[in-house]
Amino acid sequence: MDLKKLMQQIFAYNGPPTYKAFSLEETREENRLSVDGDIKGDTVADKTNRNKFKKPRRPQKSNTEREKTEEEARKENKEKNFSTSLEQNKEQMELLFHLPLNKDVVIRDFEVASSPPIPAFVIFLDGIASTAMINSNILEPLMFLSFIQAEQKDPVLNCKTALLKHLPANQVKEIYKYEEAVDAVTSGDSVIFLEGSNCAIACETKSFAARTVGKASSEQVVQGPQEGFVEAIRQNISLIRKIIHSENLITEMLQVGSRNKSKVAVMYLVDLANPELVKEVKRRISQLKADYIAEIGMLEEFIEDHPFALVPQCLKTERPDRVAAHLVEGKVAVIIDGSPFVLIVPVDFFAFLHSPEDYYVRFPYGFWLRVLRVAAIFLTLLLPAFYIAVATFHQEMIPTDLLLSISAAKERVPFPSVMEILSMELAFELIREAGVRVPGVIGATLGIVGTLILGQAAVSAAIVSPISIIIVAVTGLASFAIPNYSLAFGFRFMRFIFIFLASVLGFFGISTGLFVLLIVLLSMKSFGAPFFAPVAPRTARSTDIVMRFPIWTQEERPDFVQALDSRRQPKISRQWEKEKYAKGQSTNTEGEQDNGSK
Amino acid sequence: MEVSKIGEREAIAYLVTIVIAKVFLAYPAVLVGYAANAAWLVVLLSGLVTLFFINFVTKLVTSFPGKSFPEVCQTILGPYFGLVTACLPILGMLLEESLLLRNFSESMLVVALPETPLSVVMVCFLGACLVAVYLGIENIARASYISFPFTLAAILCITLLSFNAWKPDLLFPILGEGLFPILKAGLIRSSDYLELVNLYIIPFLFYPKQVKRIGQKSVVMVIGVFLVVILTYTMSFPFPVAEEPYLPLYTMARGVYLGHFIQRIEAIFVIFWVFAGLLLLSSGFYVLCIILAQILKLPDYKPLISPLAIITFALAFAPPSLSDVVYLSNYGVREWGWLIYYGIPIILLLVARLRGGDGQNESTQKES
Repeated sequence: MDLKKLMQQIFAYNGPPTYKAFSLEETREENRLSVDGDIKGDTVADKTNRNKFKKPRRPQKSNTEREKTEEEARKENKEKNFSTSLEQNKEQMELLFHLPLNKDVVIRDFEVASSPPIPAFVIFLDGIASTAMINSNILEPLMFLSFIQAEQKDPVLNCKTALLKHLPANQVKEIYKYEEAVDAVTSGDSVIFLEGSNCAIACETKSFAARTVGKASSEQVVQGPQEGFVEAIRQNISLIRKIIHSENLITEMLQVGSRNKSKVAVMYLVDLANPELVKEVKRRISQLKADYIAEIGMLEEFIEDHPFALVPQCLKTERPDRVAAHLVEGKVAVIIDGSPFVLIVPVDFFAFLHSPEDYYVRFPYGFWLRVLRVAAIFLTLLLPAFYIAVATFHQEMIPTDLLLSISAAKERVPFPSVMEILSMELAFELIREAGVRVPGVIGATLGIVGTLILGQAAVSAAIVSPISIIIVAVTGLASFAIPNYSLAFGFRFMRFIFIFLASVLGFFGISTGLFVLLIVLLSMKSFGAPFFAPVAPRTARSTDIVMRFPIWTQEERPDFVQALDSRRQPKISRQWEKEKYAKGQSTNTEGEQDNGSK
Repeated sequence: MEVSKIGEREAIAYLVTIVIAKVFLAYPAVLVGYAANAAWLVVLLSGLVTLFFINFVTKLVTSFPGKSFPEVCQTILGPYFGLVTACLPILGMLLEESLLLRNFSESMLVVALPETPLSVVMVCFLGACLVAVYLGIENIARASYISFPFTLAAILCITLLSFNAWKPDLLFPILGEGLFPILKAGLIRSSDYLELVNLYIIPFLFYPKQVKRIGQKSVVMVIGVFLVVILTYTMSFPFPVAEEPYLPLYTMARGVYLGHFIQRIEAIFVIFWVFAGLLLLSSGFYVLCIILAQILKLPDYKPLISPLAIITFALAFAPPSLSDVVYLSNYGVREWGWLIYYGIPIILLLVARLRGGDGQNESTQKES
């Protein structure tokens, strides 16, 4: 060994040691664009040819001659039809599914028990296709039980015979393109290829891991069905069909998300829902160009009318009974695979104040629930703002005794009312948010911390006055009495705006804010239907807007939905009432006779 | 400029709201200034005069369905005279709008925000109005439909809860200072109903068939509200005192005393007060913008909103003091406005009849 080199290595400085650290480099495409494309702000934009001298290009090989990248080849092959050679089909499928890299894809070669035997293979994705179904419904019948007289002249017939006579699976169809095969396999089906035939058989073998139907956790009722939707679209559809047994209930399937290809179901009653409405819903969903849409909330944000508004314009529910009730009003339900929530469009503002329970309890109680809820909305929105306005600008409104007790409680508190309320509201929001995110085990602790520290300690330390704790607590309770989660969110957010307005301008600020809020709400639309509908614009009379009246008086469907049949039930739905009036005389006499006999 | 029409109830609520919004300002005191304790007769009389004019308005609107106000003027009077006629209301409205803005803002300072700068309140008023005007007249009308019961309830509450102070004797002698002042005031104070001219200035908002009913019902409702306010007001204060307050309704509200707990309720009424004021202001703004846009033949009125807002804002500062504002807004346009606003449809109808134009034929067809 070279002594000099060794000495140098030992005694001299050789630079820092080299570590192999991974760093994610720019893609080749972006590197190219950063050199000769535009740079807008911090991002590399597309190459534009504006004001640019076009360099003469070297004559290149034409597209066909150029070496295709693997991705391009895959895309091109996908659109092709199957070949008649089994070997070639297998190769293509392997290429499309990145075999042998992808370990989920299983290709099982076998021979169909025919004379002479036909070579075949079945392809499926391990984990989402049921192995038991493949064994009993595909492999067993084809390998042992079928005695197909193999057709030599026209091998396509083999395929058809197998399909008709030998495959006991319930959903089976012929397919002709690689694209269809890929779709079928990725959604859990198994595809069977036979030698010599340019068609394949897609066999239903789906078996996903799924939750069983459980309780609706975010919209609970005391009296009424307890079922809630789950993540599987088929189960959700069946939950709705379980309630509406009608041949007119239509389910149309669409697809969204170019990467994840979620299934979206659009459900409506064909003899009720306005065709224009259905068309618009389908138009918005089918024209979506997006990479990844996996949840109904994402879809909602894509398709709603006013994404920046603080109030939602689509009703999201996890209760099948609620969806059914809206479907029979002529509305459209949108269900996406993977979400236990269903979207209902179009809705009016007042639908957010309704809870299914209102209809399940008797009229007087339902009426009372609604009154309570309207009060809750106003309390959520305005109570803190009202308190601040009164305490800051309009003290004369408070009766003297109350004023004295309030000011006595506030005497030791060094902050203005706005600061008190704002800090308590913030604390409340934090408790709420933490309560949602906290792991269940620690949940109980959170409640104790919230009540004890924030309530008791803040008052005894004279940071806030007891009255502001009462105000914040009542406001918080009221906000949870709003049955719709999104609307409650919107109102909680707006509450802060009103607090600000009240602290700056008193009642004047509050009423200016209310005016703008009302005007904005009035100008909004939900899928083309005016959002504040039965009230303004005033449409046909309804007995179920803010207040709910007896169910037999609810004769008309909501007018703004423009349903094909606007009447729910006849004027007199309790038909015996008619009889009572017609035979009033005779029933009376019968009654008298009864009394007499007793 | 696509505008959806509003129905009869909404239209009535809208028109009544924008007319009665002025009872929150100096209106009752001004009327008492004209006819002392017989001010309620002035209300009745001016209402009847307006009811009479509504007939002409109806005729004008139904004779030229689907045409905007400047188009109607130009069809009847030719391009030049028509243009001048169409421009006439604009000046009055601009003045009226800026005075109202100042008036409502000043009243806020008096009632609730004594230490806030006037400009801050005015900017808030204007800001809210701009949002409303931007979103369109149908939303303003619908907002008035929703707020109408509350506004009405607030007015009735203030007036009826002051029953402790009523002295029916104050209404006598019935004719007050004599018949002539009442008749004169009855005619010129029909300008207090001027906001009803929206019926022919923005005809596209109403269904032509309903215009007559809308006009008549609104006038009757307005008379009712005015009567209640003026009667209770003149019963509560003797007329030399009643002329004085700047905000009569507020003074009445302060007098409400029902036991220990229901007193000093005036602050709550600020909410309804502001609501009515905002509706009146934004409606006036919209009318200004839309007529100007129609005269200039613009495809949309929205670009005019901010320039007009700035002009209004600047004009509102022109009167040097509150008393000037009260004087200007109650004795300028409000004394002579009726001549112009009610005169225009009569002149238009007269000329149309003389010239025997399209409108005439259509109207005769309708009558037959």
